[in-house]
Amino acid sequence: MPIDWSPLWLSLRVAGVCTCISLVLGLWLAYVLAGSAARWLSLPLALPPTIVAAYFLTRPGFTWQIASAAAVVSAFPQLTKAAHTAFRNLDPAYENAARSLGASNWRIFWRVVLPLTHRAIFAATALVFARAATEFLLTVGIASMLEFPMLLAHP
Amino acid sequence: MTHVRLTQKIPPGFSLDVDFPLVPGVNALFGPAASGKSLVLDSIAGFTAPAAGRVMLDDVILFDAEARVNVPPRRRRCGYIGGRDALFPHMTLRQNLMFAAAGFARLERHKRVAEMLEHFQLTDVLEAQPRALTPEQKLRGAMARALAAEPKLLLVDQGGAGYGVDESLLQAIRAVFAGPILLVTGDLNLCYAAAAELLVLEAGRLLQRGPARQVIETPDSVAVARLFGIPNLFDVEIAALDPGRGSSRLQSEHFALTGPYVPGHFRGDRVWLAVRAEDLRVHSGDLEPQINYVAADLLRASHRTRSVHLEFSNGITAEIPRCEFDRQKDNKTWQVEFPPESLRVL
Repeated sequence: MPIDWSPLWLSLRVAGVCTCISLVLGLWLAYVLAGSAARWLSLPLALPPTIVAAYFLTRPGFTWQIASAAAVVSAFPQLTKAAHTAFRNLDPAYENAARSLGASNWRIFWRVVLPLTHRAIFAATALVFARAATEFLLTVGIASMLEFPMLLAHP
Repeated sequence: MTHVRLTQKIPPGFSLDVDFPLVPGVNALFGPAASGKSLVLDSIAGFTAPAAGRVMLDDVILFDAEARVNVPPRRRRCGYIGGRDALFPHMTLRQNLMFAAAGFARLERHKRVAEMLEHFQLTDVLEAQPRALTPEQKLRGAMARALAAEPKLLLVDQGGAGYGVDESLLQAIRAVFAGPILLVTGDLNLCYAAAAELLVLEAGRLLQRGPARQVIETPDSVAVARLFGIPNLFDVEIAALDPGRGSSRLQSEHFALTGPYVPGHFRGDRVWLAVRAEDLRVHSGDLEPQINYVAADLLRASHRTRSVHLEFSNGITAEIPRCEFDRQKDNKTWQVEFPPESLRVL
């Protein structure tokens, strides 16, 4: 019997899109959080991801794009937390030096902050990808009510 | 004109309130730990916003609390060399300097970086990562990087041990940088050797300000004298004043001294008398007492690398060359001589 690989591709696609979006969103939020004293900005991180994801149940038609969006909502706080910790642990002397040398925030982020924290962020990204690819409860919960290809195991 | 006025409160209990101009050349900010030196530096650089005050650099207002002006650090053109090594560890030394000179056109940028590397004798290590450099090279690299961005003011925090700014480095900076340098330091010798202006800061207040050598030689309060490590501080009463001979008689609790005339004081005033430890001379107690000889018991002798530190009764401390001590170490009793020209009334 030929093996149907399509659920695997689907999982990888969902996870890949989810990771890319989470990375952009998570890094941005983490950098904003690390740079400002506004503690309330971290409030979104306290939202339980499964409840937010349940919102997508109400959307008509469950496509892989919506699955990705649901995965983003559940995964990106994790990335934000990891990146935030990495940014906070970075010695402020580097950022201060860069600022006094006339570098813009954008340039400081790409040329100083990111290169110095890339290990921690790569580790967090890998975790987010793995989590999105194997996110089971969220997908099964939604997909069982809607029609969505899901491959668990062949009997 | 470059002028700094800052007010800041940091609970619990610390408040900063300073007001001073900066002159071209080295302005040394001297003070004990936790006196607010680094806070002054960070406020000028724009890393923290003071509660009130005004920072003006070359007639450009960088910060003004009333007018709500707060120029971001990257537009202030203040070179900042903090107490810790902050060369970017993921770049080579040359890349570090190129980062600083990014505002210049390409050719100009390469020229500036090459000039700075050469001026600070770093051409051998320009492709090295900062971790491969010696602390001294790192410091010179940090200076070269700060100057490559063409600042108008240089803020230098001398910081902890092993990361010292010395006189030759300051001279090297002065050779390529004409603006004011604000140097935070706890090294009084460096202030004396290289600073034009000295600001003495304690607990957030400027105690004294003026030309460095003048301030160090004539501290105007007992607090400044203490910070400068002058151990002999006596609370004395002016027992007699003789303007004709230009002399005075100073009476302390335990001894009386003849000193220079004290203008602006009356007989019976209580003043502080400061005498440097190295200005005192010591003699055997068997000698005939002469002018300003005070008999004292030797409590403790502590050997230093170049001198011997002698603590006498009545709070007198003298520091004499080792050979002098070797000559006198068998003295049974001691006399301390206070040369009249060494007495300083605060």
